[in-house]
Amino acid sequence: MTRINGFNLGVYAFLLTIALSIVLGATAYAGKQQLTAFVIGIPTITLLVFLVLAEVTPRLVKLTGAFGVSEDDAPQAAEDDAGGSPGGMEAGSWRRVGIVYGWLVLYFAMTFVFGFYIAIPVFMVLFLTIESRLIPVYAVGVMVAAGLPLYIIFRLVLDIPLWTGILPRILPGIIGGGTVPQLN
Amino acid sequence: MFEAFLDGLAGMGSPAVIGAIVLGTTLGVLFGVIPGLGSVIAMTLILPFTFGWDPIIAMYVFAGIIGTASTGGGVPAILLNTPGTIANVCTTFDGFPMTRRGEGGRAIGLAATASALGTLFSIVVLAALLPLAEIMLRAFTPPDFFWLIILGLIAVTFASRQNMVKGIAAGGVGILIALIGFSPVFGVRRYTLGSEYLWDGIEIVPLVIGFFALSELIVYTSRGGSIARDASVNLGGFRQIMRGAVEVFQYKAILLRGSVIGTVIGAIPGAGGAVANFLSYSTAKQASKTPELFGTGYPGGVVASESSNDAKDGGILLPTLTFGIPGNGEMVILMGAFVLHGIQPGRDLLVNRLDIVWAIILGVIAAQVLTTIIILGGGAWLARISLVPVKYIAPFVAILSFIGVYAVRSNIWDVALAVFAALVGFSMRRAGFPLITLVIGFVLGQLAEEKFTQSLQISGGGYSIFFTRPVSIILLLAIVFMLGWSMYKAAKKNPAPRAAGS
Amino acid sequence: MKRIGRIGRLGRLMLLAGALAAIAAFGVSCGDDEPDFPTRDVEWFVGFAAGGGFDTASRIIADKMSDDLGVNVVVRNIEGGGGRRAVQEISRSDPDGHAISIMNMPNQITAERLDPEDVDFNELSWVGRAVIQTYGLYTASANDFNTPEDLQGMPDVRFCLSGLAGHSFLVASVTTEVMGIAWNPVTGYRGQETQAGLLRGDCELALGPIAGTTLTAVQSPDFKVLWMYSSERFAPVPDAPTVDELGFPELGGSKFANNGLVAAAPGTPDDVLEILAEAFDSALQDPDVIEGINNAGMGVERLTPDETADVVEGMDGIVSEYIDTVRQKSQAQ
Repeated sequence: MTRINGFNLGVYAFLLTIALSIVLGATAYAGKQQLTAFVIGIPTITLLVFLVLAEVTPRLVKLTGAFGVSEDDAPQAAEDDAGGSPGGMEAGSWRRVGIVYGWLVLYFAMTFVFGFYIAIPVFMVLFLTIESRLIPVYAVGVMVAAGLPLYIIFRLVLDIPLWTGILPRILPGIIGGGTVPQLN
Repeated sequence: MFEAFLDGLAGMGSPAVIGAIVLGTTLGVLFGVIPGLGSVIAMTLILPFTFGWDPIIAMYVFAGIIGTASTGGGVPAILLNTPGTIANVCTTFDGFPMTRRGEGGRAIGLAATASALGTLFSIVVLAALLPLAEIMLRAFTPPDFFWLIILGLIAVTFASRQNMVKGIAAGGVGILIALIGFSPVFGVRRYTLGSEYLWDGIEIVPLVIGFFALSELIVYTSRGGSIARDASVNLGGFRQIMRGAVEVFQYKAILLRGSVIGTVIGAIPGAGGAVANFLSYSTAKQASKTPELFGTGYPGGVVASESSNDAKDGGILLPTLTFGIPGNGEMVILMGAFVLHGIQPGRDLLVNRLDIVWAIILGVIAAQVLTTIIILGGGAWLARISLVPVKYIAPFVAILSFIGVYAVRSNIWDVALAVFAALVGFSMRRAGFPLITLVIGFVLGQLAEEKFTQSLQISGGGYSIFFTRPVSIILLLAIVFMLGWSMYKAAKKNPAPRAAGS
Repeated sequence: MKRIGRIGRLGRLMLLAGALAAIAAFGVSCGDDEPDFPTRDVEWFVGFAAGGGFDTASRIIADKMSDDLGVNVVVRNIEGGGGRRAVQEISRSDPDGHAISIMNMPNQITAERLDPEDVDFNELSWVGRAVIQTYGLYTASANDFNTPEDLQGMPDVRFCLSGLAGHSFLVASVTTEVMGIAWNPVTGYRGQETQAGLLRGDCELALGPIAGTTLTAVQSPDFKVLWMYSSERFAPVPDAPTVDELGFPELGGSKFANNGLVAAAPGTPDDVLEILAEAFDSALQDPDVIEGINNAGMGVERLTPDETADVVEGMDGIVSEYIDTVRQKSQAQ
């Protein structure tokens, strides 16, 4: 019960980094432009520091009951207390989480390079055969059955130009020729 | 006015009008159901085609889209934890847990009826208030707006689950990251690190899709099984949906409150459906005798959320029709359509083109009724999604999310942001942070800063402007009351030992 | 051999035909680079949300251009940074003419001066002028001031503006300096929020292009236009005096007009640009297009690519003239 939850600490540290950089960054701006960053940032940082301390020394939490901080803030409860899904998120093991996230990253990478029209069917067939264990013929069948309406809706009916990937222009509007928006 | 109403009613029988309503409704539902897309994109796409049409027909199409997108957006929110539009975020809080219990159909029934009633309420209010619009518009000046936002922020913080420290901290982080980007008030770019991508700050759609749709995708795909965890549950089909549809009336107070909040917030330019949605949900929870049920699949939560986001439709039309002041993106497009068809909003519209006004009002009602029938009728079939093994659903959610995020502003980096937000969202949830306070802080923080600065520019730097206007004072009192009430509740509860978590 | 011998009589004609064929062939091969445009849809970037004046005009013109070019001219709204993202996008696009962008000028020049992003507007391949929007200064009808003299007597007149960097801010800074009006900006008013601000009394004045939804607003009895930044009366609001009439000709002409200028990527080949400009210009001569644009409160004053480039250079000069005034006022906030 008193073990330190390294994962929680990591998340606190991440949020602290964001909050600190914005508050420190605010010093570069003039007058009223810094106001919000300070008024909101300093209490936020305080709370996050408190969370870190509470994680390291759980006993502190008990002292704060008077401030409307409930026992739920104790680290051991945090594990189950997630967003809008009470009763815990019930995600799978970390390994499974990693694999699923890997799929998302892979799908993005494919989209980025080859564009939606290639990435969607390839991703679907890969996911359905490897992850969902469908035999390839079925996977292709599902892909066609689901991918075709997407193509019809987006390309033919709505004419929303979809990202075509960073390859040189191969099939205009379908594969290649996307201009990567500047990041810097 | 009444004559024009009867004319409008009679005109609805014509095949062209029926066709227009069906077209608008279909587009609205389709764009509402696909996450990331929404009514604005649907209206933008159809706008150029309406150029040559009879303006009345065009208005019926637009009204159809306006009335239905957020109703359609409730369906993926309930079934997949993926809000179809930003105004459906709160629907996920209770709708999705219901789905996991195997009650997706019931939740859909609740949502569809609550939406319909919310819309009807607000449209009736709109018709009644059209002559009084000027007073409404003048009532909310920037300092009042500022207090309204603060009230909203506080309300949402309380709406987060018991974990107040994490809730407030997440809200703070949300406000802070909202500061990134070009500030129109100051005319400077902040925290963009010289990056062009961050010029307009962090885009809301990838953030929300990453936080809710994709992070949930990670949760259920890594777990396996189906979304309704008890797959042996009998969805009950149409009967369960009708049960939900009728059940709405057990939550009369929540329904009425949601409708009022939606209408009022909708009428304030700039606030929009998302704010109405959050505010309705959190006040419903605040006022409830059983606040702990919210977020666990409580039907009242779905009613609070869906009644408000549709009730905003009537409210938001008020400043648009009477002054030509569009309150949100939908209304800007509608104004564009007015311009295209040579219609002048304001007194001209209300005096000379009442046929247009009634076309919009009747169109929204007709479209809403049609959508409700579609969703109630098709809901049983849709709810089966919750029984399909997630390994088949996951790729579709991923694909639709990506397309939706990309379509908003055609920027591939937005998709990357959504993927990153999925990781952050998942981790924060694991660590016990309520994501919703972060999102609402993000949405409202920017507005709060803007209204705060505007107030000071108006007063020439004097702070008394925040405490002298009647609306401000009312809102301040409401804030004090809300804080006091929560403290009182907390004090009453805290001594009693309570099981942590679940 | 046989054939040639047989038609020897027509030798001259053959020669001529051959020469013609050769010229034609040469022409085709030469034009192989030229009529190779357009090979696919042309994208038309709009740096603003759908529904506004520029967007409306763009859609009307693009529709007509599609007929001419034989491919779709697709309007894409690339919102962001007050129109600057679209400018960035076009200045980075491939110079093959398949992407063009409308931009509000000289607003973009002002923005670039205040916060440089390395865009050289003289480098862009200008196609022409889509629309011209005349600036006007307006207020709520309930206010009892009407003339510059009335305003001169007031302490700190407030202007509802979008921000501290745009063209409206420049025009406000210059106007108040020229007329001797003490003023302060109230910022963050996007689009029609401005009119709400005027009605509520957040501010006394607003200015901007009297076009699109702003035009519909000022034509209603709720608002009145105090003056127009032009030398001739503005037809849609015939009662409003011009700055010339009020004795401030230095603010008149179309010096402060908002131009919707269309450009292709820098370095677009001349022949491609010519095809684009031709289609663009002929669209602007279509009566339906003109009517649509006029209905939205904007004017059509066509410019050739060269004239457009000259106009841009002229704007550069105007912005340079006033940028210090703008900077000072902006920094005082």
